[in-house]
Amino acid sequence: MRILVSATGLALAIARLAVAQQPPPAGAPAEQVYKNIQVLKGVPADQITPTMRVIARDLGVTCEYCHDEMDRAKDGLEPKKTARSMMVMMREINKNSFGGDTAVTCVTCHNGHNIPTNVPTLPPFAAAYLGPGDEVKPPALPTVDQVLAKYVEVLGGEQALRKVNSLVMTGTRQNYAPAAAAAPQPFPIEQYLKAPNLSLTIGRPANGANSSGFDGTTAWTQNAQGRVTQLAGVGASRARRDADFYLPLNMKQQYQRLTVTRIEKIGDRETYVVVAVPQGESPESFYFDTQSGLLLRHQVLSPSAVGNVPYAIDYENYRDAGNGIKVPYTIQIVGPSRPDCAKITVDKVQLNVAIDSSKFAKPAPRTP
Amino acid sequence: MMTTMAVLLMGLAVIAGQGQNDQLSDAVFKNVRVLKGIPVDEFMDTMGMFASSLGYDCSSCHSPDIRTNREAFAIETPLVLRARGMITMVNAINRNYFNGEPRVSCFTCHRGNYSPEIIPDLALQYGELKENPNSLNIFPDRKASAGEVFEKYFQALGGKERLAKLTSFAATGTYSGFNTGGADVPLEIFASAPDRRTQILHMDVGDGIKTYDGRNGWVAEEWRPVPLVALSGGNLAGARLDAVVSFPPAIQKAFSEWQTGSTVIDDRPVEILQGRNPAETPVNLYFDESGLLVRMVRWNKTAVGTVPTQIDYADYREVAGVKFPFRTTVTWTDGQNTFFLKDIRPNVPIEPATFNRPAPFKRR
Repeated sequence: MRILVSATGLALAIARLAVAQQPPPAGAPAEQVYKNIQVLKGVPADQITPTMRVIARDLGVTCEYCHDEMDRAKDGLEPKKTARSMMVMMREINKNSFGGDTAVTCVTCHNGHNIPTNVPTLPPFAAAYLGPGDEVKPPALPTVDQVLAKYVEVLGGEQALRKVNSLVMTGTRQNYAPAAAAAPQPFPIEQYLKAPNLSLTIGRPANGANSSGFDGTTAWTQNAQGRVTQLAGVGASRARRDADFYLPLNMKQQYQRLTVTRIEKIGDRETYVVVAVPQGESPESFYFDTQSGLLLRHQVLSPSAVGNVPYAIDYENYRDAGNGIKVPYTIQIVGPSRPDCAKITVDKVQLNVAIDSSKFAKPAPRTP
Repeated sequence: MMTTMAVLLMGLAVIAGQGQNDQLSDAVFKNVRVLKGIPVDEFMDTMGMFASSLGYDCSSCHSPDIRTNREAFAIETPLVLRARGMITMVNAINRNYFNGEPRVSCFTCHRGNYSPEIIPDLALQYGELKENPNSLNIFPDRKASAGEVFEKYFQALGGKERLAKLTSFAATGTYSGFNTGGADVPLEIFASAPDRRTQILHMDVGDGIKTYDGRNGWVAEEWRPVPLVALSGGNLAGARLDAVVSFPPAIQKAFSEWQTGSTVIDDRPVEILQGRNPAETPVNLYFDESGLLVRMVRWNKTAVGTVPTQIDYADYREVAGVKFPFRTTVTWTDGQNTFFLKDIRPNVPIEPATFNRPAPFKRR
């Protein structure tokens, strides 16, 4: 069941691995890793790719709008010059008018367009005239306790959930390529989860296996070349939370503050949006179906040089996995650009399989 | 909320009743600090820009005392101070990064929300792209020439011959809107070809007159603290357009350049004609499949960016062989007004003085 939530961090880690074959060493500034960095000096090199993707998505453009197709470092296109000036502008606006908070990012103005709009869209005045005191009442929202209790109940109930202490899932992962390129081959994926908080995910694409895990204290990833990276900061704490085998029962322990904020639609389903704030980190959002009570989306924010980027993990196709508990058999990861997106189709779920705890330990680097 | 706005709008603290030629913001209103030296009607449109861009009404920023005391509009609340800071910021952005062109407005970031988005909406990328039919930037196409669209329009109205015979009309009806709390009040309209028009509202709080005499336009409203406002810029061009669309053959000649495009309004395909004149904001005219004019969108440039006005025409009925829209709905940054006609008398003699500059109402 922990797969319900835990897929998040692991899926994200793998999403990154699948794209960046040789991720830059953790902590190195951009200008030491990439050529011709002018404005993004001092930004961690591993934030450059996410930053570029955010810019592309926020403006609704592709890499080639600003970059030379063969040599990304080359200058010459006018939009690249403008982009540098816009990043300087963004910093200046936030510094001068918002006390240094990131109050303005690319999307604030651009909203998916290369040329932002500046003429107001007229609001819908067709609604009936309201008189004084006729303020529209917001819909009544349930309490966090009610939403979480229903979630646990529809997953099978606390008793049934606690009777499970490990889970092995096998399935297929389909990654996506930039719009112009052909979609890569889907590859097998397996996930091992064990109470109280151990996790291991292995993807097996044709170019070599990659994996990520949490051993109870340390979060790690290993790429196809065999290099092992220990996660730090937000990535590590997110992996720790997601590794909680009984997260649906432990939400209040893992998050400092939980609030039911609004009703929002995902596709044609209405959901209660629970904003969950982990101690000292940016808020995450959990979307629970107002009818079925099931978790349909977990949205997290990842840092980039031009503001936080949302990743959504959508859970679909919930089915009984045995022992009376429900598991989503389709998981979609939606990120800022197509290479950040993936679809995981679960073929088989086994419960209470004996797994040795050593399986989750951080592996030693392997030479290719 | 709308009723509150009705009472408040245009109720700013006034220094003195000025002559029409020196009606500038800081000479008319108290405590204007940033939006100085602009015509009163444009100043009001800047308030509309703030309201529509942030999803606000007057009392969102101004002191709650404005409900009973117009002088209170001059009070500096924290949000009035914040708004001043934001105008200064926008001006600096446009000056420093866009060669002084008004590329960034309140709406660019706020888009109808008090607190602008900094986190991209995932639906942005994966949702369906929605076209804004009111966009100033139309995608020109060559399905039909502007001449063909006008021909079809004139035909749908009753034919050029009958239209040419229409030289004036007087109409009565009702008006309802943001400033009537939804109630209907009596309305009179007088129009004379090619481009003179006067409309008179009989509100509980007094009469409201809007006139275009073929060159100049004014608004005189008895309940307002500024007894007579001369229209300028896009508002003047808008008053002229309202007069011109009363006599359709004049529309085609009113602009030196026309472009055609197409879009969808309420799931129905429409043809767009965009009319342009040098040094003016353009106008968009929308024609449905029957050829009739169903919408006009025009713009006014203000000190804080460009604001739109949308006019929807509906309920076409025949009078003396010519079709008239009996219902006209004006949607603007702060509200919506509906003009519903009951009776139109074509080709009646109209006293020329009807289109003169209205005498200012006595200040209260």
